[in-house]
Amino acid sequence: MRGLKKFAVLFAVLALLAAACSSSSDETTTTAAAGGETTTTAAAGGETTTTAAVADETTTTEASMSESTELTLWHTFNEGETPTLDGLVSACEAETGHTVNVELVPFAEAQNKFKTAAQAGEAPDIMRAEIAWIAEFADLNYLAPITGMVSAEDADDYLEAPSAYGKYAGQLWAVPQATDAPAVYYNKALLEENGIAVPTTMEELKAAGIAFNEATGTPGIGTIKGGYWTQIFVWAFGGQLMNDDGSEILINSPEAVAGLDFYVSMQNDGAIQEALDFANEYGNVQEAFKAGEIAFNINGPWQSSDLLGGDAFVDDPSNLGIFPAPPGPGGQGSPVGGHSWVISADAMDAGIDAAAYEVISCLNSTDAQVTWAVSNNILPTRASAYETAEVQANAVIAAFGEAMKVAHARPVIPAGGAIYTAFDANVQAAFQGTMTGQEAMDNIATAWVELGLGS
Amino acid sequence: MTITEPAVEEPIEEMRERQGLLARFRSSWAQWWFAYAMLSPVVIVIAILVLYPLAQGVWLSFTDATGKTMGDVRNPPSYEFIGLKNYVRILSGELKNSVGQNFWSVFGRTVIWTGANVFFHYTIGLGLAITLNRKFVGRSLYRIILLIPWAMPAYITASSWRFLFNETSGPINAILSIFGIAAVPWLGQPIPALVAVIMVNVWLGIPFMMVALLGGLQGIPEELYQAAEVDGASPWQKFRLVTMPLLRPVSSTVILLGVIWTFNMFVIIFLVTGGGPASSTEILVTFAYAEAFTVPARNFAVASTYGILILSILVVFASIYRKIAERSGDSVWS
Repeated sequence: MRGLKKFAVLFAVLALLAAACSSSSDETTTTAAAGGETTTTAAAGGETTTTAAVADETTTTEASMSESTELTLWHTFNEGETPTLDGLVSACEAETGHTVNVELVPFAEAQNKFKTAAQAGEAPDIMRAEIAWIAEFADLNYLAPITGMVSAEDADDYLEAPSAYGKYAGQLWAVPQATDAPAVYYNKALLEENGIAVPTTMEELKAAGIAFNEATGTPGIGTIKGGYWTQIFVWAFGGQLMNDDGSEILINSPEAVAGLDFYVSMQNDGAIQEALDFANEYGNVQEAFKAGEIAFNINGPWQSSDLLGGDAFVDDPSNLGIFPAPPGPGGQGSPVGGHSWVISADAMDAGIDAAAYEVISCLNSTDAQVTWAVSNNILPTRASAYETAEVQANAVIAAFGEAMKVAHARPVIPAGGAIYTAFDANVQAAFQGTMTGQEAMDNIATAWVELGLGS
Repeated sequence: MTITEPAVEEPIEEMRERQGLLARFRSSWAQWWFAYAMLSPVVIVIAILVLYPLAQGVWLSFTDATGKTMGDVRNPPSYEFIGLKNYVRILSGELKNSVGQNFWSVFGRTVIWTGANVFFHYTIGLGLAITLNRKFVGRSLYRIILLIPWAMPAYITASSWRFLFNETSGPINAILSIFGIAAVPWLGQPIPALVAVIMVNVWLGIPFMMVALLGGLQGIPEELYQAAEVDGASPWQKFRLVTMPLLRPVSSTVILLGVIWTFNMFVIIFLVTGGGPASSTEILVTFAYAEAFTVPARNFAVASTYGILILSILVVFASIYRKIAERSGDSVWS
């Protein structure tokens, strides 16, 4: 009797515990129960089990081939862009017959969140990934290859630099959704007032920043003192980050160092803002440019809607001028960035990658890209989109189209995003004056070796 | 005959100790099975939520596990046991980031960060607690206002302070300029940035100290102050000889808690400076995060090793601290 009572109490306690946990693991419990049944069948006779398994498989295949598949999509669009996405998703749901569950993931978290989800087998079916993440995700086997899915027509239509980011290890993993390359924004009225001509070289740009400083007391150019932006100067002086496959690091070559030294000299000579406030810098530069306090602003197309809303441009949008990053003594160009659509390996395992590509293909059609360009000034990745009248009528996109022509693609390597951690920290140190350009670049090269580059 | 006598007289406790472990457990189980049954949910939950991850962390610190070798739903794990290699690499200072920061330079900064924070938390918190321990008009309103930093989400705190520290348009530099002081690059140079993050965390941590110490102050009997007054003690003597000794049990507990929390305070540094500029405000927890999660193949082994090292440092600190507190006669520790 006593033993029975003990068991009863223990059982009650464990039941309580199980009840507390069950709300989150309902699905698992059901699966386990189903598994249990199969086992029973197996005990009765091997053949029966095989039949059951085959039947099961057939059911799954049928489900995936059916007209309507439920897909999850993670994106990193901002507030202004989300309504455009929602509109396109509804249209594509109607067109493809699939259901798409859209989830916004903040850009800063998206990379780690996707990796964690994919490791657990719970990745979203479709994701809008930053171009630097694609090789990394593919290298970790988290993506489904889409090599055979993209039609020859589409493959021809996509611009070369943005689609290069989707090619890794002999396969295609992504189609580009948006592209960008920084250029130089300028305030036409301020240039005229101060008698400054539109610069055509790096030296002239620096001189214009100094001239503006002498006339108004404020350095004329706003920039961001980070690795991404330093690339513009590295390329202008004939340097490179590394060779195409990352097997040789070139960031500490004399040309690249000359580029960083020139960028730092722009600060020390009063051409760009002297403030060292890395945490607030981005916002400060945009506010100063919008208020008409500075004449130049090196930034990407994503910033254009915000800039046009500033006091200096809101009444007269034509006051905003844009020219590509000017050439230096050794070259010219700004880094190609952007975002691409990828399909997760989990979607492939579930047999719904074809359905996922149908949705992507619809979301990335020429019409859709024109909608993005017109509504949000997002640069299209299809040559056909640039030819439409709507896109050609958009002055901002047309100007950035010019910047795209001289833009550089970054190396397509798994460490594509991680290279900026060391890059930023050491460029900051160079601007602080605690390191010379050569020391900073040498440190970056050493850190990149630790990331597995340079061999 | 007399030989058997002591055995009869032997107390039950000693008899128990002579029995084997299993037998002891059996008798204890027979007596206390109901209590064990009632405890079991807590034990199971703690084992799942605390002990299992801890054991996993210890194990990973002896391996070369990265995001790539960790395995996923499709691939089995392929990491290997490598002994103390991670510990040797970290403690020898071999593992450093691109601007030359290693475990020891970051540890030194973590000690400065923790020491400065806890010192200001305690002194300012005690000052405010003593002020609030008197009766004056609007006392409860003051208490509520002083609790605001504590009630505010860390994210809001961090972004507000980042705005205040803005070099070109921040209020702090605007006020300094009134007195003719040139703009300070609060978040742009190593020392001002460290001062800045410490200021934010001091602001954030004062309310807890204040509330805890206020509770301690209210537990000190009024009669002792009256007796001290009769003896002609000055206010300073009353503070030094009555308040401080009687506050010691509370003080030593909150200081220990403060040290542990501050040592592991991740959010403020991460959100205000991101460990920058050029890693100059990195403390151990943020450094471990940066080393582990900003590399493409996430380095779980090194991250676990940092975690175990931080845990060990705090365990050693806490036990030494406890010894000292016990020696000076604090009853709460025994």
